[in-house]
Amino acid sequence: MKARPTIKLGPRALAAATVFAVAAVWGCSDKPQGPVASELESPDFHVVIGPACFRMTGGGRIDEREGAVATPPSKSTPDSRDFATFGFQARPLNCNTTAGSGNITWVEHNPANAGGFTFHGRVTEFFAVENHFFGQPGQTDPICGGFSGTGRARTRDGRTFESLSFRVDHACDQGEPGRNDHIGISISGEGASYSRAGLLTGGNLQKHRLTGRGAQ
Amino acid sequence: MNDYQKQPRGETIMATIKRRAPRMVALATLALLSGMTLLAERVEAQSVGGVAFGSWVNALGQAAQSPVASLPDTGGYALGEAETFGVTGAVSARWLTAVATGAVDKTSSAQSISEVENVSVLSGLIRADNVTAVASSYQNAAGAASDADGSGFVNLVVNGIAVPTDVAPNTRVDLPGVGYAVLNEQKRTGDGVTSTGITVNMIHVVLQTVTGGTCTLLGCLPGVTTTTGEIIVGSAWSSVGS
Repeated sequence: MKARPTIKLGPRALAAATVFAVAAVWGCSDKPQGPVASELESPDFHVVIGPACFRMTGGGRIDEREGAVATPPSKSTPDSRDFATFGFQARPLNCNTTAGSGNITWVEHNPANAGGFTFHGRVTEFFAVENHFFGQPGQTDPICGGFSGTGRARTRDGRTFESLSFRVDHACDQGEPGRNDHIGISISGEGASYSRAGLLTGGNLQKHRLTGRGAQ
Repeated sequence: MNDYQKQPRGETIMATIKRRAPRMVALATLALLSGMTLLAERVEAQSVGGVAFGSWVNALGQAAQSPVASLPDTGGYALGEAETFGVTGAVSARWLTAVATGAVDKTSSAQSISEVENVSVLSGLIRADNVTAVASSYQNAAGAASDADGSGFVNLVVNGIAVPTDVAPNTRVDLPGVGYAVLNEQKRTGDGVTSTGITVNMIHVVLQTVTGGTCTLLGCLPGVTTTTGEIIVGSAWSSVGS
């Protein structure tokens, strides 16, 4: 297995007093059921800058939660269910709008989240996001994709949530293979909320030229 | 493509590379005349492929496959899932999810993911709380490559023995009286320049019987080993090619 390169955090991330993983909270009550809830990043780490003139596909796995991790993340140990897998395609309708289309499937395995769940979402918005989290001094921050929509989830404890909103606040293609790519998602509605973000431990996120109707 | 990956739809059709020979000859001539260096035209991938499924059984007189996600060769998104899957005496599993995504572009990529939970193979001979198969492929100007990063097991037990560490690719485990299993089976294809592909089968059981074989005063003759069936759990395949 090839050694993974060290990932350097941008100055804003390093300047943060504390960086914690966002809690995974899922349930009908407000009581957290998982790790300690804290903000993952300050709100301006991923800034929506407007319509995007590209589309994205992606699929893979995240384990360690995005935080003050200076080295590429590792897969969870073989006795741990604390990871998520996903697959998506998403695009804007054209270069001049944030209206979008696409699909996402997100599978959370942590038993703290209602035993785990599978979420299926339909994309209705796609936008460009400026990523400050891994930006380097003197370099232009990379442009990532973001998208949102609605969907449904089925939990392992037998519940179904039909009217949920989701937002992928960043899906960042940092090159090939996808070891440095990262993604973050939040899901909410019907009294439930969930969020998770991390560097990929498998799979790949890919930006593509916008093709078809609406491409410029 | 193996039998368990073939589907009525979504079979990968490998398009031919568009060779612009006459145009290149003209450009080369101009380059020589002008003294300029001719840059080689990069060949972009023409197709992508991806298939993922939770389980496939061809054994014990039964044949079945869990829902399949099969990616069109032009890319897109495909989903297959089932809350339960079972073949008596062969496999039982829950929460099977298969996803395949990808696109053809300057950098073409395809990703396939298979997730299966509460897995029991051959009445508990092989068990796992979770089986995840990830197959990722891409091709760009620098070349083409595939990997199975992210694939793994949670709480894998084989023949009553817990496996506490990640399983290395293509780990063979003998199953006495049954056959053998290949765990984290990985098969690669492509030239690494214009094409690449990888198949990941997390549990691949080959059922075998031994017939014949006898011993006399003159010595022993070995029996004949015959494959009588196969079981696959957690399969993902992706490819990008010209």
